[in-house]
Amino acid sequence: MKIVAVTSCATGIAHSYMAAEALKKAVKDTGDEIKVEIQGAMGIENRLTEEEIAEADLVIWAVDVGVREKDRFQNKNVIQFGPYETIWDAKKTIIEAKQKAGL
Amino acid sequence: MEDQFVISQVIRADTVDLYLKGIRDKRHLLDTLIEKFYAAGVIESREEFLKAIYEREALGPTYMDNFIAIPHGKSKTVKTPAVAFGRCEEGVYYDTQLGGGIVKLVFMLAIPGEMSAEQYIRVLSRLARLLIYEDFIHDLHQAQSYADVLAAIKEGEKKLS
Repeated sequence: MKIVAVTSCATGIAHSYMAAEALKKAVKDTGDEIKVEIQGAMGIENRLTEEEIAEADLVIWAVDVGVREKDRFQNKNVIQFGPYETIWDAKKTIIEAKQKAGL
Repeated sequence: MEDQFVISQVIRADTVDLYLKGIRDKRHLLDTLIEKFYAAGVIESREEFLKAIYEREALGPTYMDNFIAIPHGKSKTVKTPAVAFGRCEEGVYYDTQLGGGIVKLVFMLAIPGEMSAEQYIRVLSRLARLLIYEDFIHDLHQAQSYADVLAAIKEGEKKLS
């Protein structure tokens, strides 16, 4: 399944990168495709395009602060988690997100 | 400059200690690694660098769970980018303003004052991304020598795109 995700973290400047890496690692086990946008100290990195968001089967936010430019996701069912739980068990994040989205 | 983003290029044998013992607390741990930077000529002033570390600590925790901490400082007292690594299997309590925990593996980063914010974040984010790989962490716990640590980092960095 096609997944897009946004990671950000209010406090640790490196945690948004860790959450992104954890998600990318987890899809190797779950057999999904993922693109992860990182909203960090340097602004938005690896930005999701409108097309990628539109085509995604599942949208995951691993965030503890407001997502920037969240209008892009207004027609999507977004499943939200915290960045820390995602860092240490991203596979669980993905499995739970699928369940919550009814997929 | 590109090489400065790569942890395996900036970690140094003379700033790695796999057998830290008798570390009393976080401050003692920081001082011990700062002393290694000083002895290696990475920093000119221990006091200035400690100040930079604590300024960063005030912004947000560098305790990363999983027995790991990554304290770091950006300062003009840093002459060359460097990474120190200390392992303390008996564990040290690492307190932060958002709670802390026991730390056994510590990476300390010394970032020169003139390094851009973007480069700084790239170094830090590369290290942070490595930390989510269980086999990397396992290798760090098992390492018997600097060569083992370097090999683990190089192997880990292959996974980062």
